[in-house]
Amino acid sequence: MPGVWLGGAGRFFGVTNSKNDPDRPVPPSSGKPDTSDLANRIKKAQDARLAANGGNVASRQGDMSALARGLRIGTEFVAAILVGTGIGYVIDQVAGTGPWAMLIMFMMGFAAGILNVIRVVAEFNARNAAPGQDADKVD
Amino acid sequence: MADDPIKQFVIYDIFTFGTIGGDGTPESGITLAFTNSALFMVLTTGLIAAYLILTTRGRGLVPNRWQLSSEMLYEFVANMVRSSAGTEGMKFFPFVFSLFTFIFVGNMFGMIPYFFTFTSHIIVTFAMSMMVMLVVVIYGFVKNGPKFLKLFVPSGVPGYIIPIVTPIEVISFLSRPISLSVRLFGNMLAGHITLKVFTGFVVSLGSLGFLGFFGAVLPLFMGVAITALEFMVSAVQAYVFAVLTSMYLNDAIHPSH
Repeated sequence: MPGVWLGGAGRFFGVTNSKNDPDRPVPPSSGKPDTSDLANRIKKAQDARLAANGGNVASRQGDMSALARGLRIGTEFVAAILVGTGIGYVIDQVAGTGPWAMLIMFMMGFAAGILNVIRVVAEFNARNAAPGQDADKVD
Repeated sequence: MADDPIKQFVIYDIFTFGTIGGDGTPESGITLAFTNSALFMVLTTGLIAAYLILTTRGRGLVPNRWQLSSEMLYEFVANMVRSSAGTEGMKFFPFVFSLFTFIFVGNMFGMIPYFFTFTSHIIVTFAMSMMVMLVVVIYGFVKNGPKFLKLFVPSGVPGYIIPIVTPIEVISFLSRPISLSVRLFGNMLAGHITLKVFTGFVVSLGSLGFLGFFGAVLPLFMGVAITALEFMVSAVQAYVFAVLTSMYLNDAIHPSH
């Protein structure tokens, strides 16, 4: 009876390397791979976060709805024109230079609006591109 | 209340603190008043503070459901700031988090019937966006000094183009607070008016009699759909505001384009 039990235990020990050894329920030899595995996973997660930060390009906003995107482009464009025209109007009021400053600044505002729209669209494109490739080239 | 779609935005005084200046007659001087707008701002701030304090009170290493929800909120905003402004931007995390939760809860409050939506007033959104811009400009100059002005001079541009490009860049920069505030204000104002108009159709068609009663079903469906849309817009606009804030802060931290 003891012989059978010992043989069984020995075979058990041989096959699965101290998994269910009654003397050492939680042996350090089996605990170490677990913690080092955890350390590996923590390291991997930290690396992933660091890589995400290094990319610097927002990748989280892909879920912005189409409506929000369209409105964003529209407001960026219109706001630049309004600001440009407003600056020109103020210059005209202060300097008394007819409509000219307002007209010129209106054009400038138009250009700034186009610039804003290009920036926004480039940003959207960078976001939709596959992360990790040349996503941070646009900016 | 249901008849006029603009009436929901009326600001009235709840109580006044007193008047500065003026000659004693009504409508003269500056009256400091606690308005319904202020009331809902206080309620919003109180709700956020109570939520965060109560849910994180346990400080469990293994969070319970409530703590998990506020930790998810933290992680959401923290990832947004990190991805837009980098790890350096995390020093502005409290600022962005406050703005995001304030706008988000304020928008959501506005979706409750008879509640006031303070984000539907452009002065509120403009004040918030000017705050963002002031932080960007002041921090940009404090951190980078005159190098912050490189924001307006793109690198790699030939010298004779710079006089043309720089004013455009300046206008583009100055248009940011406008577009930031107008976007949030416009979305909230337009959405609430649309909601009110469509649900107003239900009442006016329903009072027409039998045929109108059936006709009222259509705007009722629209009202339900627009309510769902408005919830989405409220959340998305708070998100957009916070994302753009962190992107502008990124310009203050790394001013070279």
